[in-house]
Amino acid sequence: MNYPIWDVGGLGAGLVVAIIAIIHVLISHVAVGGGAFLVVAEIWSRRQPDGQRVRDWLHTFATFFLVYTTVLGATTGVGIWFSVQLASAEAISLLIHQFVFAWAIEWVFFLSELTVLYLYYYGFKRNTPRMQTFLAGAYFVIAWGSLVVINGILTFMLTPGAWTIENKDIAAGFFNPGYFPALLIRTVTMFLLAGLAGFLVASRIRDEEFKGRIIQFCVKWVIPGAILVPGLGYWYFTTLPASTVTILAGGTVGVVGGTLSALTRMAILAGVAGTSLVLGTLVFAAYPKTVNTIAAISMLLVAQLGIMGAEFFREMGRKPYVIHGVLYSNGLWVKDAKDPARLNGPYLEKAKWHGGVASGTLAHGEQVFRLQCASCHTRDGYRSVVYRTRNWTAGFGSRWLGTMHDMGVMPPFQGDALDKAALVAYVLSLRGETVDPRDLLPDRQATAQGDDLDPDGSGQALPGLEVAGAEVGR
Amino acid sequence: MTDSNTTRREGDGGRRRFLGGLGLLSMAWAGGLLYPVYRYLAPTIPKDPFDAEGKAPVEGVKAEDIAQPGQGRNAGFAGGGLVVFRTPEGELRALSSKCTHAGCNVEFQGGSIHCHCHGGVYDLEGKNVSGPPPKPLTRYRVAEQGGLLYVYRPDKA
Amino acid sequence: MADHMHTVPEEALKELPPAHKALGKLGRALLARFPVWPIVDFLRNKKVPEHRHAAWYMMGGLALFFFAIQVFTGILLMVYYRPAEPWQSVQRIVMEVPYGNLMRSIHHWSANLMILTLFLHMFSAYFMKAYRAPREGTWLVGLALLGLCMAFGFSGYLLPWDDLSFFATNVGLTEMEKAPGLGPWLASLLRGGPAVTTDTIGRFYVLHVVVLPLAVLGLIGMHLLFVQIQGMSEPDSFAALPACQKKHKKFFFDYFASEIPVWLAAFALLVALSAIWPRALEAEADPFGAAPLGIKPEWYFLAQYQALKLFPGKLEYAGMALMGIVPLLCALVPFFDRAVPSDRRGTWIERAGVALLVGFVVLTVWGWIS
Repeated sequence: MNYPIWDVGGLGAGLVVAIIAIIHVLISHVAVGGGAFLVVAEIWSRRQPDGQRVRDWLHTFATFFLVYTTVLGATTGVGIWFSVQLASAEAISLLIHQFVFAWAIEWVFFLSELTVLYLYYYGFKRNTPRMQTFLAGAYFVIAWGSLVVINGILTFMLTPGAWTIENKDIAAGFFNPGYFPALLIRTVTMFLLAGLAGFLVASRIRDEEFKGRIIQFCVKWVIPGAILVPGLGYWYFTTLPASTVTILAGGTVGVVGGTLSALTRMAILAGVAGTSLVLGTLVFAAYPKTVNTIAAISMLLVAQLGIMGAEFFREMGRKPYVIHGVLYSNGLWVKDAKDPARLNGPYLEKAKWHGGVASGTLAHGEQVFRLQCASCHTRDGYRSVVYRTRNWTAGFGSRWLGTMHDMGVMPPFQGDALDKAALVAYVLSLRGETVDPRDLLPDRQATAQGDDLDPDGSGQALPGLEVAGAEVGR
Repeated sequence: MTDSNTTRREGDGGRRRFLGGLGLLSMAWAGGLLYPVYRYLAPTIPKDPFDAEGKAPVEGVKAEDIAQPGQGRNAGFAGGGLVVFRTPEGELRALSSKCTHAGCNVEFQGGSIHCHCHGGVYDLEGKNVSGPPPKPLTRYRVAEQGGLLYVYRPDKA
Repeated sequence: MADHMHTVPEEALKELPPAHKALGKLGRALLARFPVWPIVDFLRNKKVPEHRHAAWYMMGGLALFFFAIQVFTGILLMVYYRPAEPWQSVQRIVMEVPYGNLMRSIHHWSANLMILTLFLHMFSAYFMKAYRAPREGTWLVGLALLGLCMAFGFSGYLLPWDDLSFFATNVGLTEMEKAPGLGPWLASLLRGGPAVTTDTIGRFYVLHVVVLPLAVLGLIGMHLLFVQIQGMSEPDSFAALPACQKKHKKFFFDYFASEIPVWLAAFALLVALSAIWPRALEAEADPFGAAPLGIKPEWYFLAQYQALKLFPGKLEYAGMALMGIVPLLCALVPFFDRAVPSDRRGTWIERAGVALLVGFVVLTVWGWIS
């Protein structure tokens, strides 16, 4: 409402953020865990009889690490910055203003860790052993520090805890209920992922005996994390807000169908990913000389799938908020939504970036769509509005908009009857039906179909009446 | 080329134990995966056939079918088969139709209830009076409402 | 055969666990009754070549893995699926049966992954020239298997009897009907009449759960037997190396150990897809209703579908001829390609393969987005 919308064709802004984030999360955790890996490997290498060969391998690992984390990691990290600001400027504005000091610390940490890493890498052959170990250790501490800080901001979004927009208690917001479970999960996961990165680099070693030793070294990084994470995930789950749990516990519904709640599906995925990682790594431990690159990539894929699943289901539970209880995904403030005068007044008078459209036209409806719906839905792509309204009649649409908030995953509609009518007319126009918005106003809908929840007589409930949790690809 | 699993070497015992353990773990994992399959296949526990008021509708017979004393027929409800009849005195009764001997469905025959499988006989109260049945038939309180019949959850004895 | 116990060969006695151990006793007892030591010995020493392209050897096993999942989940679905009440029974599976949604989604995704893996397997065998003598038979059986698996996909797709199933099947059969000669007759036989009805379900169901499984299992058996007897195909550059430089991995258990993580990842992928994108059940098919917007066949038929669209009107026959010639040429490739070293790029067989692959991908993507 207060900011222009980033309209991304068939994907939607949110999905762009998701794709970049899913790639980045693997890289960023390897970046921190890999720091610990470097420290331990430095010390371990000095104790090996063939220390020089081990250090040569460590140098290969460090090269991979440098490119992977400082190039791909930095690119996707900045990519997140770009995409989230475009996707939800209102939310980012709040986060920046509340946690400005934390953001500043982050940037200091980023700068220092890169500097330290470059000193480590380019001084690899010249620095003294003590200096190398120190630099690796410093890198890890700073990198973990950056995790400690960003974790506060990220978890705040879902569990603001005692922070409210009135009290602005930053300490309570930063050390919110989800903070420590998430910190622990991320810390354990990063060691696991560092081990998997080690597998990948080790799989290229030609000497089978040597490869076997390095693989055995990496195995120890993976197993504890793979076993601990599901339990820590449960701890995190217990800190989630009630409405999030309701969404996740609801079954998949409507035409997607199914008894399996999002929670069950997430647990199945987490269980399978975790156990597959343990088993696969144990096979590596049993046959270390046979580990090839495809096998190493397979284990990374399993970890990525587990992470992707966790992220997907967490995001499902975040709806309809971007900052839980404070700000809806489409930029509507919860405090404004609670004030009927602000919620039900004409939308065009409040929205700032509607491009000066004439009231009561299809263009009006399109702006309502862009500013209120496009944050989560595309017209006919991801989370397609055309698909979801395929059984809509004009009268039903307007009535439904008034109750959509009750689903639990949608914000309340902001605007008056004309805004609703314009939006419905626009949505119908997307599938080729031309309706004049003014014909949809309540006073002209005298011959409404009553509360016809099944206007096409198909015997099936319409999508709009589904309970929370309907997550379909479309 | 490493000959990893033919010759027996020193120190192989530990490795063989590890491999054995891994094999067992894998089998346990595969077994765990079968849990959803078991739940999928396992017959669901039947829902309580009686509603919140302890009532269940009878299917297969309407009140008018047994309006006269001496009329009766086999019917059923969600909890199983029934034999529903009217006694010569005009009282409406419903008994479980599952013979307590070997489970065949019994038949109302005016003054008594017979099981044709092995010749068991019950009286109109359900008591086993002759033949192999070891126990009486379960009796349900039955009532008529709007032309339809309903049975009630038996009180705990 | 003579009615006596067999002597266990010397070599076997050396390799088996000692006679006082349980497994040792069991091994001796079995070998005395079933003289299969030559087979066991053969498998024991089975080796897989190690070279730059060795990763592609995994594709066949992966396809078999997905197929095994299909058989397993397929049997589970059959417990509750009722051909007389197709849509209702699938709805029950998805809405009521515990984990039914999961089993059905896994069945759907594993079908797609299996066919994707089969294409990768076929193309990698093509470019590595694994079809060459003496492996022509393996190649032909493989092509037949690909066709049968696509028939599996087509027949299974109809069974839920929802909007999507019905109209996609209709589209497919209408295309088949246009083929000159056998087309209309074959389409009618498959449909059980002039239109797709619940009778069609009966025929597709029998195909899907009895006829195709028997045929595919038989052909897989042949395919695997051929591979075991002839050994893995080696690229020419590998075959040309002196014997001491040729690296091999023993299948049991070194190669198998490197395959297990890949199978675990495939399984995790299957579960992830089924958990995050469970298969939807659309509205029940209405044979008289309008087809949904943008109806199209499943992705593995999209390339042919899109290609046929490129031949409008009378040119259709040319399009269909092309559809027939391409598989025929694929089948005949072993008989064309004999002398050229397998690592050389640029011969017309490679170029034809690249053209086919690129064409297939382009047409599929084009079909998807239009």
